[in-house]
Amino acid sequence: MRETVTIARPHAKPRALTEPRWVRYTLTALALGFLALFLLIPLVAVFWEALSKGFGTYLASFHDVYAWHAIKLTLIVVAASVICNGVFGITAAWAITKFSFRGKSLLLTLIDLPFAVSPVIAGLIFVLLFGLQGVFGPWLRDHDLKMIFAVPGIVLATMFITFPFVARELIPVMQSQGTEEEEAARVLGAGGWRIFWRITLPNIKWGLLYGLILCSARAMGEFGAVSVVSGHISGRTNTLPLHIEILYNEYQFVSAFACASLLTLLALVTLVVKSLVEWHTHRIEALAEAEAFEDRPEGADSPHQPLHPHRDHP
Amino acid sequence: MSISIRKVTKRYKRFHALDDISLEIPEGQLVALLGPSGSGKTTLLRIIAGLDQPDSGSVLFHGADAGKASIRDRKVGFVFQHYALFRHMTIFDNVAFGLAVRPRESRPSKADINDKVHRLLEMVQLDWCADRYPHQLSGGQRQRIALARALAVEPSVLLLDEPFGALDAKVRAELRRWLRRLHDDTGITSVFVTHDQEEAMEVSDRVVVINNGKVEQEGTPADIYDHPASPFVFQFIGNVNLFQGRVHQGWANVGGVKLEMPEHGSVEDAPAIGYVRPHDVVVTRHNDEGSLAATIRHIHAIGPLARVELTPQKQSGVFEAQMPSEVVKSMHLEVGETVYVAPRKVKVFIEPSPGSSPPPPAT
Repeated sequence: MRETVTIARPHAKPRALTEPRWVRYTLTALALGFLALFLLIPLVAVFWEALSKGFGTYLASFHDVYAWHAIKLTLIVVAASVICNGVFGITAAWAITKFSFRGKSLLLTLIDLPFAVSPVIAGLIFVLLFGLQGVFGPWLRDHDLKMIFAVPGIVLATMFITFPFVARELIPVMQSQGTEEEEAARVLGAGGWRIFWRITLPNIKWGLLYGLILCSARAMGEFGAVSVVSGHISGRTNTLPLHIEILYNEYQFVSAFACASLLTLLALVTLVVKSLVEWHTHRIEALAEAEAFEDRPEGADSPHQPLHPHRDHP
Repeated sequence: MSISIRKVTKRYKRFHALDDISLEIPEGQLVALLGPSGSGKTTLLRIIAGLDQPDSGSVLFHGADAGKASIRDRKVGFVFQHYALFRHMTIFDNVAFGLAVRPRESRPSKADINDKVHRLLEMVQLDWCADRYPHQLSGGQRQRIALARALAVEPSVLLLDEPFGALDAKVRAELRRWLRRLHDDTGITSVFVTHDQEEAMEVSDRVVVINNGKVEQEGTPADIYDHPASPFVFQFIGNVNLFQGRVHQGWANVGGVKLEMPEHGSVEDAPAIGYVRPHDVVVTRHNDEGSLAATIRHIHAIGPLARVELTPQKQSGVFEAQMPSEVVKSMHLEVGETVYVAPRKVKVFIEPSPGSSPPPPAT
């Protein structure tokens, strides 16, 4: 007797392998509900509030001298910390993955420190170091240099908060790639500088870009550490997040939310770029995997004569 | 270019990777460094290339100390086990790399580089893939590109680190013959590392057997196969049967067979091991003097050579005899049958007692 088997749609899983329908729908609804409540509604609210008095008022908020200055300062801080952390991240990842030296694991741990320390404390550390009463305070004053309540302090604090991103992103990439390509280039006569530009950098560029994006996203929105070292001087040391706080405390809701919407937009752009980079790296990884799979040889199709034939087909 | 290795030592922490190695590699030869994994052969190759520095000792290229020359001036070509092609460059750019990074004064013109790369790609029969990327090629093709890239800089020495280790048996055999032809055509001094004795024996002019950071033996493949200098070489190269025994005043008793050993005349009753290749085991039906009764346990007669597994009747253990399948057929050998076995050729090594240096081998 033959059993008849009905074949379901090719993509549908057999019912026994999935949860009951109500469980699936409840879980999905719950997840989407949370997303809406905590992300979507606030996001809409920011723009809603910003545009509540019309588009003209919204634009007018940016005509303010202080707002404009805060935007510029934020961009400067982001640019400075991205560049410095890019250089630092590559150096640290290089040192950790390509050489072995004493204190390597200590360095690895220290790179993570900014993740563990509260930003406010980070800010306080810099005040203690560079403030008037601080360790380097008198020296700085004698040389007429200002760190705290000035732009250099803000850059420094932001750099401290964001420095793990690039290094953390690059270390696994460089570890998995090893040093063979660099060695090959060296034997072929390339110097260190050329090896870096022509071999290492192209191989790590996507990881580096991803790290830089995360770094700039964090740098844009940093509040705690910057708040401590900046001194909130409008038109001089206010970054965008600090400016928003001031506006909000002064009941200038439209302006506050207008600036907030700008930061949000920047965050959204970063998110899109990040997804693009992620998508691209996944594609590269998939290629590499396919490569490993194809690593099997030409001629695999040749007739083999196994001495002990496998019984695959009983 | 000839290479001399003088008393090279290299340690990693406590581990002695290379222990006072001295070696001459004559000009124009293809030399195999053969040894099990962890024997130090790759370390030696990397030291020759200048990728690693020895703790002591020196490497001389044509009599001049290469330690003083930078890697660039050593003019070596290096082929890595996992190809190490530049993954983001086309095949053309990979092969051209060594020429393109030369200092401006000595860099060939674009057209010359172009010509040369295409000639090399033709030589490795991969001219059609100049615009492809490494991940689009198979393992065997990638290794050929790696070779072309190494040859592009016209090295005076070609060094290959387990060049065919990551490939499957058939491609490997093909590339092996191809490498031999390439070497015969170019005549460039080449050193390659392998753990595959068959590969070393087939391809090279000379084989250097390395174990535990020391040279066990060096010589032509035939030398090493026929006259292994140590038990290690005997066991590492080819199959071998071991017979426990003793040596006393010029006579050896191994596996119940008495043999005259004039070289060991001065030895007083020492434990020894006899080494016999399977094809030196003669199986007969008549009980001559000096032969050993054994039972046939198994016969593998596939292809032209048959392997016969035997158990000696007075001892425990298993050994193997190898003979043409024809002989098995014409003798009508059967499993379970008793036969008489005599070694055609035995090599007896006295087991070194702790503290003494190993005695010379005898055949």
